[in-house]
Amino acid sequence: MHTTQLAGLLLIVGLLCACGADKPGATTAAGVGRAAASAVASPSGDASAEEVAAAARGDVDCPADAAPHAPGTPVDDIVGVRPGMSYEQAANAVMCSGPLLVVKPENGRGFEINTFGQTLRQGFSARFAEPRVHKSGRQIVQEMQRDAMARGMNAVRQDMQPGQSKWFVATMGMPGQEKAISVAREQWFDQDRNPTVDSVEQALLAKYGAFTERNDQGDTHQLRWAYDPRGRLITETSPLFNQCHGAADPDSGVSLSPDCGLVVAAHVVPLRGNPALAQYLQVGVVDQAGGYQALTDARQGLLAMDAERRAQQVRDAGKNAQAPQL
Amino acid sequence: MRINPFPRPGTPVSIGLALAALLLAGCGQPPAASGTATAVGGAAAAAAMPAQAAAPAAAGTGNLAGRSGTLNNPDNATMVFLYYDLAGIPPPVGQWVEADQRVRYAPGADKAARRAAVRAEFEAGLAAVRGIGALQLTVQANLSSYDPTYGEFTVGALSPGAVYTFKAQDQTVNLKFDNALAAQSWSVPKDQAQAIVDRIGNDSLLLDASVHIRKVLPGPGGGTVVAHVDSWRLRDSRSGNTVARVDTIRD
Repeated sequence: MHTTQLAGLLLIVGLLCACGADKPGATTAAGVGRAAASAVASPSGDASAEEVAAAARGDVDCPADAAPHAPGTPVDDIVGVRPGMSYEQAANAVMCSGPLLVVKPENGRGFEINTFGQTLRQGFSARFAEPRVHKSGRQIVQEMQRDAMARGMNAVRQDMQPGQSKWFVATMGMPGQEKAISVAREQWFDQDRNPTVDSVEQALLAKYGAFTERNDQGDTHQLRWAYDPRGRLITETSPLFNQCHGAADPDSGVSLSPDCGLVVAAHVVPLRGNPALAQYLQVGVVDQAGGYQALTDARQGLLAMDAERRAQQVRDAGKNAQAPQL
Repeated sequence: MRINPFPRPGTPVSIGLALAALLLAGCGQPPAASGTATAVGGAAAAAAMPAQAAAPAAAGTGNLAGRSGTLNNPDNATMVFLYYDLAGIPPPVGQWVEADQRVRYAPGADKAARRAAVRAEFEAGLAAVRGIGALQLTVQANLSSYDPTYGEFTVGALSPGAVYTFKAQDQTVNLKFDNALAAQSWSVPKDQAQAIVDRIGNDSLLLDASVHIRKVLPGPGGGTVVAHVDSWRLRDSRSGNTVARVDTIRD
């Protein structure tokens, strides 16, 4: 490879690294993200995943305080994380679910709403911390070449390893008051410790109860628990049966409808080599009516806030505005 | 109405689509019956009269208390006038007059007279909605199949996702119901459900709903009027026969 090409690649790598870094102060969660921002901003040498996680997580209060599940209402949590939690509560609870999990604000995902210049936290993701290894330019280029070759060969490359999990929590609300409206988690089972698909389904049924629908798509076993806004389980005789769907995949979008209530979706994906064993599990919970209301309220609140700002400016202009010179 | 706001990272996402989804979220379901016409001019607005004599608003605009008048199936322009009246926002009548095509394209010599005539129409339309606090709406019922699990039909026209949109004078006014969850449910014992299904057959049903206005939420380019469904009646669209009537709806 020519020196100029190598220099170009290194420049691109450098730019990508810069883009990937958290902006300091981009998150306001208590203890969440600030440490991560500083750690990323000033990395010093190689570090293990545990060291990276410890630096990024900041103060985590475990076990997380979780309101007990009210009897007679649908089970609405994933490992204790549920819609309705504040941004900070949800981030703390997510990090309590794994010592290597690091929360990262996801400002690139969310609703295209006019925030009138306000910063709205519309969600966060969480993944396992990766070891920080400084690579030489040659190593970086070799990796890029290997990746390019893998893409050219249509190689399947999973972004998760056995034993890892990742989360996405969508939040909505006025700045500083955002609450979770959906939660999704993907869990990859440890290698050679994969549970049976049946046992995973039984565990899901034990937690979430009788389901609305079971629908196997290819090898993936899909289960859905959908409720109307009154908290009643939607059955196949309901007019909402085909309307209220959730999203189990943390990388998927969620739908919000005021006609639907809580929806839990689960996908059990089997191992390629043995469909009786589960490779990973995805579970998502969304409060559709609550999320829709939160979005509506946030839009109205932001609008009112901006109207007040403009009115104040007009009032101020009446006192100290410069008169035109005619 | 559904919105799908959280795209998969790494996949191409159209911001335009997301924006459109949000805009659609504001619009909700298209109106099932009345209020669906395109924006009309001042003449139509002036022609829209309250079903009952509208008492002048004693407390002026922007006050929801003391409103006793009722509008019967208001058209787009009337709902926009009503929105201004409810929100207490001074209507930009001067702008509307100048934007009106009858004024804009009138010969110079006729402009003044045409301007006065159009202004009078707008002002008459605005005057007609003063004191209005209730609406009578007739829309397609969009009745669901019977759900034996919970022993009820669902009136889709009154569902939480039902939003009726009125557009006129470059303003969009949405009408929503604050007790939609209760209003949409029509409980019927299982032993009576089949008879109702047989009576309805394949005919379409119209819904006559009586609502009173509870709240107005101003926004840019229009706003939302929130109403409470007091009662409703289902009738066959062909024969006019009443299929069901619910006189009291709890919150």
